[in-house]
Amino acid sequence: MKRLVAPTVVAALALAASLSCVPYPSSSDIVDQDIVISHYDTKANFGSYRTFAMPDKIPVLKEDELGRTEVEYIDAPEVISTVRTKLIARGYTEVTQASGTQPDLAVGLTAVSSNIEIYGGGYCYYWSYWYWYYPCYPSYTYVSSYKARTFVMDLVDTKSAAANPRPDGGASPAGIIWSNWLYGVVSSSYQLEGAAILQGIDEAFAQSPYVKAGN
Amino acid sequence: MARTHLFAAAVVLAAGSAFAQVEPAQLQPVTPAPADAPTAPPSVTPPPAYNPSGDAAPAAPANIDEWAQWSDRKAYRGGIFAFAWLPSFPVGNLAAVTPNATVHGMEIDTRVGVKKGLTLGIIGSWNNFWTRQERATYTLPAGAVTAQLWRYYETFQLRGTVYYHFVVDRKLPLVPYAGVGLGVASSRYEILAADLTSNRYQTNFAMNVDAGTLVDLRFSRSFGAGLLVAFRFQFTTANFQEPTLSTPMNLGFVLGGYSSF
Repeated sequence: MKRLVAPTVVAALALAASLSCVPYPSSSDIVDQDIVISHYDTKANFGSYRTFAMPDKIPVLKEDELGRTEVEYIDAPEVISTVRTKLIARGYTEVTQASGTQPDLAVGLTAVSSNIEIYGGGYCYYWSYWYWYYPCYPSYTYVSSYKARTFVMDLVDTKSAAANPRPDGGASPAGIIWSNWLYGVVSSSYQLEGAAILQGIDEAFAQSPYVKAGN
Repeated sequence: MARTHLFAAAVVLAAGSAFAQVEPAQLQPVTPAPADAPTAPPSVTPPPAYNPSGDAAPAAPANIDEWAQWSDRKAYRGGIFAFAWLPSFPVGNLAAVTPNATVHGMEIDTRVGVKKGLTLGIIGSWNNFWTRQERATYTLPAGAVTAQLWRYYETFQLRGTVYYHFVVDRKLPLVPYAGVGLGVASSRYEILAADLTSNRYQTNFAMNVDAGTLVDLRFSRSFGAGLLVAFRFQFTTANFQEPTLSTPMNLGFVLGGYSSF
């Protein structure tokens, strides 16, 4: 048994030395990163859509002093204009409420400034095998929780969403055909970080050449 | 570099410890023989020790010099227990996914002599390959991500081994060996972007081919402890997608210490 002492000592020391050095990103690496993730519905035919509608303000989800979620709508003309320009460049046509025309696509833009839960008992959306450590990442504005400092940009098939209403009557995430999460572009003071968010929008569109209207 | 030094220090420490423990046990009192009579074989109980040569134990020797040779030949009977560090280099598809050499690997190796020069054994090993990729756009299933990515390929393996030991010269403290290991691997493939992670696991077939040598430190006649130095080729049949990681292979070193039993 004493003979086992030597290799055991070697094992313990080498194990400690080796395991202690397995590299993982530091917290500063994480905080400093801007990440853009896009995801699309593989069943969607992007070429079948013609028109889209834009919001005129962007909701910012945040917590008040008591930890309650509140929504503040802010003007972000540069952000909205950039998204509009990108969609038009891809061949889609904007329609407005005043025109009375039902759009094929609705653009959803939401900023999240802190880890927020919107609906108690809501569900987490596991997108493929990607997921956030905690809280889980939402598929859409109406899902339960959000990762802090994230800007969400979605395209919603309005007909599909209308045909699959949520049981509680809220807006349905069923119609989302393209979802983008721009992580790290919203400041803790609820401000959209202009350059970062515009770059993120550029990257989201660059990732998604399939977002293109049919001829 | 500091890690290498630490390991070397550990080997030296362990080797010294083995020496301190083994040596006294080998030297039993010897009853003096009459001056005019042939030297009687010492009344010792030869220690169990590693004997890859598999030679049959010779008859008890007639004098102390022969006793030394007899002890040496007995010394390789039994088996070894070893612990080793596994610095490794990815090759093939693994090098495309995680191109960095890694120092994160280790193993426990046990061998038991079954026939002349032949041992059967078990190895439990761990390797972790990783890389950090600069910010770029990477394809995902039904999407993409633009970020700085960390990728990890980690494998735990349990393999049965067959090694043949070449006892080339008893005067040299070297016992070259070569052999293979076959078993199972539990592998993890992780892609990490900030705190967004993708973790996938598979259990697959694993194999290694080794060529190396035992370096007897000759702390005692028992060959009770030494160093283990080898080259290794290793692969598993793991097959991950997005991005593809298929049949990960690596070359590496096995650097460790052993103790006989």
